[in-house]
Amino acid sequence: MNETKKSPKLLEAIGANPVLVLLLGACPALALTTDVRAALAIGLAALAVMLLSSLVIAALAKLLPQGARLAACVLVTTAFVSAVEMLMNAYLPNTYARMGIYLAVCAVNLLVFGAAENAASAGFGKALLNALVTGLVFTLVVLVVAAVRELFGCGSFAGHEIAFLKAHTVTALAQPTGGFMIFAFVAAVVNKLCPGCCCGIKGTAFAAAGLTDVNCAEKEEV
Amino acid sequence: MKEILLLILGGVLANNYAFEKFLGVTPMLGYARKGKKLVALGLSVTVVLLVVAALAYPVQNALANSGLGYLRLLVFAALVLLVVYLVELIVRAVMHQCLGVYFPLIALNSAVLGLALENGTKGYGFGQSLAAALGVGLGFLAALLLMSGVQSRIEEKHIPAAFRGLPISLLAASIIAMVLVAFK
Amino acid sequence: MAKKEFSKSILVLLALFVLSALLLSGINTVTAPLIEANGASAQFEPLFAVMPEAQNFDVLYSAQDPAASALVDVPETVTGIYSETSGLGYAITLSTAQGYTKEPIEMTLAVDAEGKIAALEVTAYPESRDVGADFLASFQGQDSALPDVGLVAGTTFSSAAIKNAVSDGFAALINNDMVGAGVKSDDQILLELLPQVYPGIANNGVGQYEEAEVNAGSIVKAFKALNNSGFGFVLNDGSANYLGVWTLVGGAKIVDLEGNAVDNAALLEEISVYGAANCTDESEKEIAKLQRMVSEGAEITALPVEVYNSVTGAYSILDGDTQLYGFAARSYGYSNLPMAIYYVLDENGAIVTMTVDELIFYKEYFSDYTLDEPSYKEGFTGLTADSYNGEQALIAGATMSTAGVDTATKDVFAAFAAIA
Repeated sequence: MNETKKSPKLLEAIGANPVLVLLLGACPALALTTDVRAALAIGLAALAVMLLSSLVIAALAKLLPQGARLAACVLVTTAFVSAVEMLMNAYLPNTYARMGIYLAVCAVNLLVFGAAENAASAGFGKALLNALVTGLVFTLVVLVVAAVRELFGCGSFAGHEIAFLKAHTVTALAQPTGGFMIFAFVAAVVNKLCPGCCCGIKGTAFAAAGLTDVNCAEKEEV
Repeated sequence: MKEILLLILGGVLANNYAFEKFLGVTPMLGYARKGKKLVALGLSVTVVLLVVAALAYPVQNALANSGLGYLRLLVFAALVLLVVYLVELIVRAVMHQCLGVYFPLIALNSAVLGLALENGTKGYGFGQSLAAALGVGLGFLAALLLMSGVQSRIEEKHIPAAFRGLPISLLAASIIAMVLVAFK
Repeated sequence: MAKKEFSKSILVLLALFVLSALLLSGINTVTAPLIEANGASAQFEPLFAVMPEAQNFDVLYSAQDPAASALVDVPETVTGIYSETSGLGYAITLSTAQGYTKEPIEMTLAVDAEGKIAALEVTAYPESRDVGADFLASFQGQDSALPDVGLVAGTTFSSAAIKNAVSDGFAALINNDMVGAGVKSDDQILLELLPQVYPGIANNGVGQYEEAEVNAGSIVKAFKALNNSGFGFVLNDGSANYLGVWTLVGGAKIVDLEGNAVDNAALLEEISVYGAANCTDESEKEIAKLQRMVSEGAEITALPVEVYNSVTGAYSILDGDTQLYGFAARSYGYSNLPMAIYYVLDENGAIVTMTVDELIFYKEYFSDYTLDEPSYKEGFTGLTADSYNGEQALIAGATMSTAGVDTATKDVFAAFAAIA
């Protein structure tokens, strides 16, 4: 198929596909994007956790038996998420208050887990690069989504109200409905620019989410 | 009694974890499997939720009383892993197959961990925790069935290329989320 | 999984768990104190809202742990007392459940070092009618006497509740010599005494009257009870101010600023003359009503009784050979409207029969109203002051109306006891 040749293999290899990133990180991406500050916080927190857990898992890769990999990745990821939670609560209490339960739930977030799981099989350097890029892409994507949702849904940016927008808010955007909608449009845009981007991804996390069925241009385009 | 029923119903409708709280959202967006496998997944998640909620209650109190509250997340994650592993063992032993459900995936389901944490934060009693767990599990199953039903009925031909697959599922989810707000 | 691999897995996982727990404990020792400090300062946010120039606050009193405080005599409505660290004054958090709905109204009060109110903010208000920004603004700059704070019509319970809570806040400060007490004018003191000396003019402690400036003789002001039970007076005989009370049923007394009874025949005469001249004489109507409650030929004569409650008329009834007593009471029912309740007691003080002109006002609001009025009234037959405990009158779902009946019943028993 001609379409797949266009897909940027490099991006795939280092897990930088924005749609995939949004899908796997759907939970915080949908929940914490009503405020740019929250989005920035969760993006950077996820990045930190991904980097740290990739480091640890890559270092321990040889010691981990195959069957215990999932559990080990979850434990390491959870430890770092918990650490980030405590540090945020102590040093940035206002930001922490905006996280709700979603920072904690990142412990089992597929994106974060995926980075750790990747570290178990890929080499040290490759794992770190993957974590870094995925984390940055995630942060960027949630910032964009949050900017749209906060500007047009709440009429403010990072908590600062903008009078003109405040008078013309589309409140649906600030609600779950809006979250799904914006996500849909982002996915559509990326799809347009890079068709078939999310096909052929391997790894426990991705396959397990049943993503091989999603959005693949396997059928004939009419 | 009324409270228990409200908690269960709430978990399915007003407080649906997938549509309102975005917990456990990825499986419903990713899956396009057959109905039987979805029911099996939904029920397995419900069972895991119930066991986790039951165990999390005493564990949470023990941690709080001994001043180890900060270990809550770690202990809960370990608990979830344990429960999933045990449930998979039992299911394999009893049914001699895994029902087409990839059990470890359930350990990665945010709804499970999310419920354990919420039950603690909201200070639910034992019965209430179980009721909430049941509600969330049924809500998850409902979400799976709804979304797969919608996805199977979408005629890909009529949809612009950019929107096929994931985007249109998301739009469907967005409409369902709008509807559920009415139940609040 | 092979057995060896299984045990290896378990070991690795356990090791990871323990290491993680240790890491988290380490972080906890650093972060826990910080988190606690953050929580403590969040508690002061409402205080900074009423005292924006404040630096910080010391907790002097907390209702959650009163024993830990050095302060004494702190009223129940005070939930916290805080002293501003740079000497600007005090912040007090209050919670009162005396409003219309009996749900807590919460406020934060700022008092400056001179004992004047710097700010008052309501942080939780469950009532359906707003007291209005003007009412809250009227507290500004006042001292503990609160002379210029009037109650807001239409929200008397809620505005009275707020005013009383602020008074309590001041009381806490004054009892501990933290600020000086404001001086109340005599008029204010007498007016505050009125509901205590003359309960019949008040409903739930809030006076229900029509004020009139008289300025004739010693009578400065007259307050006509809205239920026509009598008058309150602010009197000045040239040397001092007094409170006078005259009731239609036969009471008259003079009270000084401390609330002590004063024997002053001249003043008593004056208020009796004014009262008799300005009170609507309902005795004909009351007698007619009582006549219908007893035999046709019964003789009904007025009987003066010295009470200061909602009883507006007391009568001696000679029904053949039987001595009975009739009473008319006008306590307050739903929406503070006066009810008209009539009782006939026998010579031992037991109720023979009672009736109410209109038990429930605004019947259209009571869609679930199922009270069987005749059997409700019959339930009073035979009750005496000893056997009556309030439960026979009060009905849930019609609390205000039946509370009015309860008050009237108690007042009638008191009137009976006052008959010589």
